[in-house]
Amino acid sequence: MFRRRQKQSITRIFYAGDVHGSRVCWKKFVNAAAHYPADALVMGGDLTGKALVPIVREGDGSYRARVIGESRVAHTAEELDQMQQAISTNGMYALIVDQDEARSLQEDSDKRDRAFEKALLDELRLWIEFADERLAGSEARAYVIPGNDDPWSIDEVLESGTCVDACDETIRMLGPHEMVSFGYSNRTPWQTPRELDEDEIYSRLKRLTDQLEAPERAIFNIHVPPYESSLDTAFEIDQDLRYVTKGGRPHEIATGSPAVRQIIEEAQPLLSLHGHIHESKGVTKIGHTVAINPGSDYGSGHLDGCLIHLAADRVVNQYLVSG
Amino acid sequence: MKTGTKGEGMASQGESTGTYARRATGLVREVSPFSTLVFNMAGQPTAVFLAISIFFTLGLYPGGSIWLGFAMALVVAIVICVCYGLFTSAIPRSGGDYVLVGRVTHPVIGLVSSFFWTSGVILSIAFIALAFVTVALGPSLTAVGLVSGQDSLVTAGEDILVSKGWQFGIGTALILGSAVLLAGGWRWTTRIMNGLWAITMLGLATVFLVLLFKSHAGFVNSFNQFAGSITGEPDTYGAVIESAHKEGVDTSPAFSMDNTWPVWASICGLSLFGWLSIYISGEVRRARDTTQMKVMSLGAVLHIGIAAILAVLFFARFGHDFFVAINSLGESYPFAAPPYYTFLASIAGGSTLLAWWLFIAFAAAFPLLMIPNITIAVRTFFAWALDGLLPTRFAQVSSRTHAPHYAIGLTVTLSIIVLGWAVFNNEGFQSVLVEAILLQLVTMILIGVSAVLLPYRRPDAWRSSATTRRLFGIPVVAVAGGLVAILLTVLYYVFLHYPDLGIDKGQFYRDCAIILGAALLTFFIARTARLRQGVDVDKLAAEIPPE
Repeated sequence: MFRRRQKQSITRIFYAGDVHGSRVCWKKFVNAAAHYPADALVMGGDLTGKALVPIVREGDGSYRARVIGESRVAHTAEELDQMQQAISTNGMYALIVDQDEARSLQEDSDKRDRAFEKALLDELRLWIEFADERLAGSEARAYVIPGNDDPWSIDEVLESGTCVDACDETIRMLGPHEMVSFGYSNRTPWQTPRELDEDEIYSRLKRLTDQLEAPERAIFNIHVPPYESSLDTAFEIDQDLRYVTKGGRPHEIATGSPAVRQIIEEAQPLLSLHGHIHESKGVTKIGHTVAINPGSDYGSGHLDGCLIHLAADRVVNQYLVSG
Repeated sequence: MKTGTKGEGMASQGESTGTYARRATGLVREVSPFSTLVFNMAGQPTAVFLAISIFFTLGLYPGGSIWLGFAMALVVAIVICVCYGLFTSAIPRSGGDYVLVGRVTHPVIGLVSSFFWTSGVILSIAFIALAFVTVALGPSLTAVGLVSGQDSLVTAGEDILVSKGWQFGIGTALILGSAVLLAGGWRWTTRIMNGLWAITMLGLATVFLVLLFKSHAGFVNSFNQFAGSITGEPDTYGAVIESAHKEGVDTSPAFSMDNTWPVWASICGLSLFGWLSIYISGEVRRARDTTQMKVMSLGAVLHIGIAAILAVLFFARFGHDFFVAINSLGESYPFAAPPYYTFLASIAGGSTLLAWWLFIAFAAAFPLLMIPNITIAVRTFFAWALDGLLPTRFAQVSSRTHAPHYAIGLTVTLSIIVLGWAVFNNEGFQSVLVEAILLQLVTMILIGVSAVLLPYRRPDAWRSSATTRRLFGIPVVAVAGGLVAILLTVLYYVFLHYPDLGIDKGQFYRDCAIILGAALLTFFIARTARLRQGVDVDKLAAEIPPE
């Protein structure tokens, strides 16, 4: 039932993605290196959050915000801190404003965008500082790529880390394994910042995989999952971001990238790590390649990830975890 | 479409809630609130509840008030829904009690909880499979045969009821059929469940309409016409009441609180399980807010409300004394079919077509009840495998249907073994059902206790849950958790205190000890094996410390 421990050298990788602004998930990602333990941390993109929650400072000194549909009031500094934590745990950015600023945010979309971007970058800087502090003195490094949802402005912040390796569109060594990283996705109905056409995805990935010395031992860290892999199933959404229904029910489709599938089939790496489709958690095989999407439920404060033990020539074990 | 270029993607939109969202790919959860309602109501089908859980107590516990029993059961059901709904909003994961209890207390306690629950679920699956034959097919075929005057159907129904081979064969087929459906994927499963639920509800609506437009005198007349050809009595209606009196049944007893407790317990037995969607919370839409709690509560209100309304009609149309009498008769009961409401409503309607329809609608409740039970067992085995407590093979899913085929196979195997035991041990389905309920109550109490601990052991999760409101300074979820633990402990006491409810205390305590031992043994064996592979099971199941 349970395989015996291998005597040969094992590389332990912890992979997660799609934390979407959840500070607690990021902290757990960084701390996973010591917790499980893992030799390398790999973050598969989509770091930034999707929503900004104004906390309005009232005339009586209290603070008011709507958190997950519930109106909450903070009367003390401690309560305010807890309110901010609750917002952050859900992957949203808290912004303290007075009533005039709140009104202005509601009316002025440019101002809102600027506030959003500032909050997003400020938060990410805190994340990088946290990782640098926690991983200093250990051999583990965090290999991080942006995903399709991440604005371009985060690249500079990612590159500022000392223990965080911003490795998009590069090849890095994880023990004896070369790792190819790629954060773009194929086209989505949301028209997010980092999307490419399939032929462009293929040619960029091909340029990378052609440089691999031992593709059969390689790791792919590609944000978008391969097409029709069971790691890419989601409900179809039209250009107006509404569910496409058939027979009265939302219609399921494969949303992955055919180009990514093709490159996996051609290169046959040892391991292929993906995210992007939060609800399509799973492990599958494409030829000899073990392909994994650990899913994401960042809003619950739980980090969905995968702990993988790699021998030089095979995947020894993989555990989908929710820590 | 545009190609992503620097600076794009920050378009945002204001919302009336005061939250501003930007354009970003979205998490889509699969199970809608309606399907969640159906899933929860399927865990306690009102049709089955009305047939086997209430009216047998009329003779067994004279003076026990089913109306007070309904009201008390509704209070307990709502408290459970509030507690479990709020708890799940803090940890909206598939896996149910295993995840909730394990994440808040300790993985080993989560596994113990899960073992009790899963043992109860496997027993329930066996009960449903057996009851499909002994409660639905056999009696319904007999009832249709009697109403339509077709002796072959009566004989077929009676044969099925006494043949252990038929019971095991048909029960196994129901388990396998439900498993095959589940293996085909969640989308088809929810469609079929919604369809079965609609059929059972339409069946109850038919009963309601038939009785609504039938007077009491009309029923007496129909009954005497129908029964006269079997008993040879022109007034079988009156004879049934007289026979009951001769057997010592008091058809108009004074109210007794002592006898209301077991009636309440019996009603609770199939009324406190409208929260099973916590086992699929990872797939439920809007699991983070209070929607799931409201859907659970709505299911509980609908279930008990529909049952109470129909019970009022039963007493009004069938006649109080007659209804008590026919549900209490022993040896002098004159028919081959038991006095389920479907039988009596078919007599009231006086139509073979109606009898067939009520039979089909009633029988549909059993596969409906089977699907969530099998789903829960499968999800639990799946979650154990993810945490390294079972071989990882049980966490594998089909690339085509996304269904965990190995976990389904394990569930089916265990269920068929237990069905064989239930069929051939001669103890009857009632003892199987009550033991299943009591095992599951252990888990439900543990969830309540864990809900009390949630705000203190997992403050982050609690703060980001649907509500952080307090009652007398105590978090609402903790208050609800405490109430759940207390109310279910009282229910436990009642089940153990009244032996006619069907529990063999000695056997039950032995089973509890075996389950506890098996859970601890599994945990420590798995932990040792995984440690040899360099993996600490405690850490796989534990929360990664964020600080």
